[in-house]
Amino acid sequence: MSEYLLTVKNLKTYFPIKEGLIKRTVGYVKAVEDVSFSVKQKQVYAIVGESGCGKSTAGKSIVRLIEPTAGEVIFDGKTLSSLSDEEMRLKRRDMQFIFQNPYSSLNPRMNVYQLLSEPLKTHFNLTENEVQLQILEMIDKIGITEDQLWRYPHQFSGGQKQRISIARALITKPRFVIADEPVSALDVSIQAQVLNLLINLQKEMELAMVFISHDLNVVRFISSEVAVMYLGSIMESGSTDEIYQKPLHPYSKALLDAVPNIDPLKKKRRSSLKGEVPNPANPPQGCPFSPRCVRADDICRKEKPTLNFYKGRNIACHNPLE
Amino acid sequence: MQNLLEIKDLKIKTLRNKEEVMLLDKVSLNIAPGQCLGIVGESGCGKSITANALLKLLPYPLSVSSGKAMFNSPSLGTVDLLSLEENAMRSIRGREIAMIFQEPMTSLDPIFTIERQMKEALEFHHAHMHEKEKHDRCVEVLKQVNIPRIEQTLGSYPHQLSGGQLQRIMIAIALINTPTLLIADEPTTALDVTIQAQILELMNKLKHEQNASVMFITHDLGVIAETSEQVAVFYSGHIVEEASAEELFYRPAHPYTEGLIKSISSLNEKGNQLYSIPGNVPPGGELKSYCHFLDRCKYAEDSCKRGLPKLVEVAPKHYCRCFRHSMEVEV
Repeated sequence: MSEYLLTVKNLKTYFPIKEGLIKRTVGYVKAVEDVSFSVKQKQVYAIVGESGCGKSTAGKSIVRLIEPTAGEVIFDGKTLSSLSDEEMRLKRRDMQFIFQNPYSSLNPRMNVYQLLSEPLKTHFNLTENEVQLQILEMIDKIGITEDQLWRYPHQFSGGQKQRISIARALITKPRFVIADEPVSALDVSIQAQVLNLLINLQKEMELAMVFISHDLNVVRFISSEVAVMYLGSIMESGSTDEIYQKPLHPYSKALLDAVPNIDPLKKKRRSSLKGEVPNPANPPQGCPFSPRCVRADDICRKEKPTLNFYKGRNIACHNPLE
Repeated sequence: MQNLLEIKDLKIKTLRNKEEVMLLDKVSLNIAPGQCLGIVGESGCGKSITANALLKLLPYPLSVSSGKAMFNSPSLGTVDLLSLEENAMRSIRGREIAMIFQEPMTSLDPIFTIERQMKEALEFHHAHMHEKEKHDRCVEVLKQVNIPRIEQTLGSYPHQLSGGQLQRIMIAIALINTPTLLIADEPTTALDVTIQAQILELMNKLKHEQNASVMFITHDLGVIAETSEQVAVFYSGHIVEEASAEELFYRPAHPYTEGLIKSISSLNEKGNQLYSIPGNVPPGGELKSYCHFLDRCKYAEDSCKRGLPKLVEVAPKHYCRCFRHSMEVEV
């Protein structure tokens, strides 16, 4: 068996733009342009980027919640795109998804017991007794008490709701989970609690995880490898520690510089990035970052750099930082 | 009055099932001219209603039950904002005190052009301004907030612009009447980090250029550290700590502040566990008779239940509401 549990090769997801009376396709929003990476067993791999960079679409395309336009996703030795719907449904037992907003991802008409038993009943042929046992085991881990099982989502706080949605994703004992901004809807003092829970469960259940986030601090804490995305493409990927210590791509550097520092004496004013993320329906020619990049020259504006191995990591840049 | 704004014992209540519920109590704050006061807290702690109360923007059934907010108005002299007549308030709101809201996408009207909406703010306070003058003023403030292609932007509708641009326009509208106090309620929360960095830099620049005072409301301690000189930490309807930014970040006195700072800085250290504050953020409107942070506090003792600790000076100009620093009880 290969070292990698999940391999994503040249993933592309385009959304057609339709216009006019007969809904003719006039162009494409290239949400995910070219994404390749691999996740080892038990590894936490982070995808970081600003809103609209395609990180969530990439996550959903991997598990085929959105059908990718092209590219290959190999999970556990099987190419996912070749699977039939039924085969894919069975695979989902092993690969789960934690959504961003627990306020909208939990059905308000189901109580905790129903929410947690649904995935079990969908994927396994269990008696009611076995279902109960598994649920009790799970809620113990997430700090929900037995008498809370009959409550409905609105009776819980945001942090508790997100614990429930984590439990819902992990109750089928998957080997791989995608967490799409799992803490960004929560209050600051609650984020740390939920992250601790997620990390503990990840270690305990030996999960491989793709952690999608825009919060660079959280990514640094949680992941061993990271991919920095910009406008649908990976700009730089490799070891989290190395990239945070010394980003080689000008975009990674700008992104890291933009994070506010909690030390008021270091009110440094950084080389703040000019301009805004271009429209993915009408991306710039050449390197997607070239219009905002201080190091951009003629090749950058003409030719799109490919992701190449450079100084121990992958980087898509014609003029990397030293 | 030396300060631009002095809030004294502000109390805000609401009605729940026909019963009065207190949301905010014993809030006193001062803002000096040219100073940026940061207000930090989690959802439901009362930071936004404090700002809304100052401009009489509290939605029904919320109302101010007592307190004063003395404002040094350039046109009216020293006035109490909370007891001001609606007419007088109208001459202050948007001209002397302007507000920037959290979501630029929802605070601008989708059916009017940017120019129309910017001019509205001008026309309201300067009825006889010439059309050309108004246009020039719009162009001038848009230049200040670094909007590219100004003429084109003026003719656009909100949906044609990005979030970062809309927030710049919101700031431009707030600045158009050169206010002396700017209230910014989570102005960068809906924005990306690189855009947030641009907006924060812009606000720091404008503060120096215009010598305006700013009340900066946010849940992000990092943003506070970059913008504010003075910081007030809100928890569950009370101020639990107030100090200069430097003092607060280096020597936090309240267990809640300490926990917040620790949980953020532990993200920078590789380790197995993050520092976290146990328990949940209390829902608004549950003012108890004892320390509100008691259930989540790691230093809590039985004796903490004896009453609500008083906000006392624990170091020069450093105030904290905790029995670990003073035994005084709030009456």
